[in-house]
Amino acid sequence: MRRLLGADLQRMYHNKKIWIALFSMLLVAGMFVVMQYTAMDYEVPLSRVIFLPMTFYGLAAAAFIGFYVGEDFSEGTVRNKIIAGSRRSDIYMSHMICVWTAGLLLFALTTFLTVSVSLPLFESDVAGAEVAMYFGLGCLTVLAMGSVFCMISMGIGNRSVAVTVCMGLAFVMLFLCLHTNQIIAQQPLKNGVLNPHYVDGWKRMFYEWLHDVNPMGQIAQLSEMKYLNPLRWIVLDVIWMFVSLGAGSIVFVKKDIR
Amino acid sequence: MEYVLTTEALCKQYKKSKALDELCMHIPKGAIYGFVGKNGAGKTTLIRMICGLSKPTAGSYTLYETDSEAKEIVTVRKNIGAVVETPALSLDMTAEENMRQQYRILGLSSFDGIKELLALVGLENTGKKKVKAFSLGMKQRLGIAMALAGEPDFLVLDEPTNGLDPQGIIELRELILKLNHEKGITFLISSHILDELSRIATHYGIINHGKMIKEFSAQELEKECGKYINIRAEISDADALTRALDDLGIRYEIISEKEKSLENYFISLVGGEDNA
Repeated sequence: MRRLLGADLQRMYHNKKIWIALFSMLLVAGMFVVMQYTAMDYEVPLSRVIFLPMTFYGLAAAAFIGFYVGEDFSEGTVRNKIIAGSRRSDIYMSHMICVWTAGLLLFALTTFLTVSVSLPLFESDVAGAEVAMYFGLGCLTVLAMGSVFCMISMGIGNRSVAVTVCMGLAFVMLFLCLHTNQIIAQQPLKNGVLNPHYVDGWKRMFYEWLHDVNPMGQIAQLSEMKYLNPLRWIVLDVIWMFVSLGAGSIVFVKKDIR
Repeated sequence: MEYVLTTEALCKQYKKSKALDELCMHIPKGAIYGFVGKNGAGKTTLIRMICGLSKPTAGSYTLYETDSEAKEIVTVRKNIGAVVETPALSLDMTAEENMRQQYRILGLSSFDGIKELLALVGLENTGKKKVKAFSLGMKQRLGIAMALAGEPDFLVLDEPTNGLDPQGIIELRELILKLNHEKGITFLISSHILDELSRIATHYGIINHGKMIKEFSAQELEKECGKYINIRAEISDADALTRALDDLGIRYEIISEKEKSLENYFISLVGGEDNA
């Protein structure tokens, strides 16, 4: 397992797509900070800026994971690992760890850049401990999202199809998040009268759950630093990781490699 | 006879088609086994199976006396080196970096042998050139060098001469013969180029529609093709031979390539109507 991980991390280091994804995220982070600082006609608090660039993370992750994992199949290097006597479950786990590492690196560097640039520019309304807590939750989201995209890419075993499917799923998750966010954001009263679009009871619980189960929904909460239910967030991410790891391994172990 | 690989009634069924149909195969230790068949006959399917890339739907195979269903087969497979269809290489890396990757995957503690292996396949001077800038022949040779990492006893080459220029084919042939003679490596080579295969193979297996039609040795082939005169490459002065035959009053017809006979033999075994 260690030898596989070493080889996969080395391959990741040489993979340009990872660096393109990182550069894109940093560029997006810079642009967001500039936009928030210059374009808004009101004072933007720091809490609305720190994790805002992460709204693009889902698309970046879908692209780089699809490319990185898919390339192992399209270049045929996954065959070398099997012929060399590596267990398929180890190959799967090694990919998963690499994807997690790259995801966390992207998240950490993007957040670091945003915080460093934003601190002197925006009004600080958050404590360090709060930022750290949201960063921890964000790490879990990154791991869950990476697990899902890795499972899809390993199951498909073709770079172009994997990238297409992962990107497609990322967009579906994004639109679902926009939909659930719009419903949850409704207030009971609007301009002093009852808001007909406001949902409560089991319907609200369902939409909140849907917002939490969707990693993009979690990112939406992260970008506002305003969670619905942190425990549910953690539990759902852990479930995503275990389900992806279990189901993905089973599929990959039985898969015919071309 | 000691066998490196034997298969017993090996089957691979895809949704509607049968890629392998109760295939039986025997590869003796130290042999260069030429695996001959038409496109879609099942050559690559079998190679994928013995490399662990796919599983049989029925039947089994034995690799170094270890059954394919045994847990130890994963470990035994470490004795194999393989180039399946296209060489499996990371295109964004150099030749040496690819070799290092293979060494890491194999769990080899030292990178010491890399330069020798690259020299063996003539890629010692590629420096920082990325593999994506390599010619097909260079990639093929690098694929073989990677397959040789870990000093395998059994090398599986699927269509190794595909895309190689004549010089590359000659170099590859010499490399195979050298490895077979000097290191005793057993080869399984699938190829369409019968002419080339018959220059090196010691044993043959003819596959058609997923079934093994016949296995035979090079000696048996000689007998089967005895009605033809083979002019061997070692005879550098063909005129001398023809003069000698003329002097002896022997009627003859020179078939320039011995492999022509193998080709005819192959067609007679598998049927020629699909080959047109």
